[in-house]
Amino acid sequence: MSGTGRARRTLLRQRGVRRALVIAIVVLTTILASSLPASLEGLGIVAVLVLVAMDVTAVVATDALAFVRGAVLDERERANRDRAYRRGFRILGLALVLTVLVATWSPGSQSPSELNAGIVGRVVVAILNLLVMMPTLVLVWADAVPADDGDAATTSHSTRLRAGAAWLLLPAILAAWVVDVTTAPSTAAWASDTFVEGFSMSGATCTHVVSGRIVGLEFGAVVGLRAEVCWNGVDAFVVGDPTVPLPSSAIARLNPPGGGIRAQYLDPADPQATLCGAESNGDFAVLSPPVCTAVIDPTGTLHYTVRARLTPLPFGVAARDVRVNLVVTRVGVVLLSGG
Amino acid sequence: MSAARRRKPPVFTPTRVALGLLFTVMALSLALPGVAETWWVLGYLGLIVATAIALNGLRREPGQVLGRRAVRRGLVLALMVVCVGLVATPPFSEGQGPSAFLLLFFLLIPLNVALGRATQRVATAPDAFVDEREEALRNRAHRIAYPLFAVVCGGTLVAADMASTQTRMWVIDALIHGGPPVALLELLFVLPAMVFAFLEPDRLRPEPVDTDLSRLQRGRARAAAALLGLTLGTPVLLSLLMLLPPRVTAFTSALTASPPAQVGTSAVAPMNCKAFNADVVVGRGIEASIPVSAAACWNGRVATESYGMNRSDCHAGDTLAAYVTTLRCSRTTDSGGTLHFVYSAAVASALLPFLTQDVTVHIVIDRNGNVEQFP
Repeated sequence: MSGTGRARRTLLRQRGVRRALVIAIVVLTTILASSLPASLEGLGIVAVLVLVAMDVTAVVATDALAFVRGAVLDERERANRDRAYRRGFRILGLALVLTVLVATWSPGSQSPSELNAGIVGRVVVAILNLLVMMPTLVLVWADAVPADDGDAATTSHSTRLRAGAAWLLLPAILAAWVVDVTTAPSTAAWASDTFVEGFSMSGATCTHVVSGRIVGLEFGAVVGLRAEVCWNGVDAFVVGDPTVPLPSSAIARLNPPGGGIRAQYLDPADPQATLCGAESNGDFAVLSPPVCTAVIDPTGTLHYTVRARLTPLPFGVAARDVRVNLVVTRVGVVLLSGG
Repeated sequence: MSAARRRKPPVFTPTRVALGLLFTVMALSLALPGVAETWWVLGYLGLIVATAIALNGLRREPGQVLGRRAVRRGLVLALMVVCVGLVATPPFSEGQGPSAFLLLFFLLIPLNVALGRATQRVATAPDAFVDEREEALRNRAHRIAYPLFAVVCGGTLVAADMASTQTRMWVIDALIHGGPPVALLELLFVLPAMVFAFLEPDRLRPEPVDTDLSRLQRGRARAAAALLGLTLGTPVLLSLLMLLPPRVTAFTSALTASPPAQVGTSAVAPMNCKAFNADVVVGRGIEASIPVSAAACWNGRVATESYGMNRSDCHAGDTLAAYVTTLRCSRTTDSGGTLHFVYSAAVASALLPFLTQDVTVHIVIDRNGNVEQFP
């Protein structure tokens, strides 16, 4: 074993250091599971790599006892490992309940999500980390680490190999993420069934449309679309966003000649109904502010588009545009697409 | 189980804290403003806790039948089948989902009671109450259960979250509406006991049931059985109450700021308007509400809709263990200028879906503003 490796192992013999390591892992996992900060602004992969580095340190400190086959362990080691699994399972139950509570009730997650973008990447990492690491964390916390006689020669070759292989996880995860976020096609995200938006407008039928695109599975970014669209047989149009003017056919129904309603009161801003790029998120890749455009063609069909630029790597490397398109005909046929 | 060791067991174990948190969150959620009418659910939650405590307090031998390994393995298999059924149950909003979900949920209760008795709850017992053999066996059961849980639950969750848009939709909707959360909690808290029941050999000398029980223990057993019956029977009783006549709240009011007229009406004719608000609640406890919030205007020639009478306005209000199917949602104006709006829905108990009650809300207002029918 090298001098640096021996020094690291000696450091990990100290109970305070080991427990600080466990606390750091738990704190970082909690941060990932929470909505604080609301967006990691493209730094999600850094947080994941830091977490994995700490995990590998914990695994190396226990000689990967939680992951070794029982046949190569003596009776004491096997008993320690099995006990760690029992305690780990119990604590896992508590941790998962707390994870759900933190993810649900942390500030920033108070408003119900209309976009079903799945379980976001940071929460997936937190859950996987708990599942994989809990027995090891129990072993590290409970001082059930292998005895060290201080002789480097006694550290088996296979143990050193295991430790080296564990550190290879870091470049492997980084490479997998780069491939994922730069090459994986974007997939559609639809509206959550759990959300019902009530909206009524004189002389028109309305529906609430929520959609989005997910780039890089859950480890890239999400671009969202939220729009209250109405149609009256003449035009389809967006309401709730004063930057998108109503067509004359809608104004005529809302405010006939002599109606006396001021223009600014006809279509006030309503973020619950329409919000440009609502629920967009760039935890693992930097996302530019979304830009929305709405055009009603001569046939009365609405073309509404949300655009954003995704930059996963520094210096604009592998940057790409993400688009969500909404088309609504004047009789209420709704089409969604994107890329 | 050893009675030799008398060490005081810890009051706060991770499992108890987790369960306590779960129940607290459920109670707080139900106590939020707006769902105060679901007060009975809080009481029912208390009943479940009392039943669980009563059952947990019973220390009874498994008996001849549950002492057999084959029976225990059958019990484990049944629990697995129920969990798979819960995962496959569609979310509440999809047709027959709720009834299947509740049926499976209530099936879990007796199965868990039987499993608890078969294993004497060794898997979750405090250290002071288990001997060395049991300690080693339950530790082994947890070591086997842990990767099983991680792969089955974590693997399914992550794979479904990333596989496709459809599976991602399924994950979130199922986690909020369907049976998977119940299956997840079941495995989280019971899987080690299931492995324990699967691993433990046949009992050599099965003891006859009840013969060794003291009078106090028999009394506790009866009380626990009564609580269990009450826990299982209450939802069925509340489902039957859905057949009672619905409670109707309805009122109309003149609109102070008259909404504009519709196309086809004279732009210069003055319009008078009226708001209609109604709430029809079917059931007691297990219930669903059918809300209507609309307005109509008239000018002496025709009555027209102002808002709240479009197809997108016909949807159910608050529901609890019930589901609502819209049968009709129509707005018409007859040749005499009278406006007709009909919203009709079928309300069914989620537990007993064959118990259905149809509800219809009418708004009929003539061209002079006379309300001919409401609700």
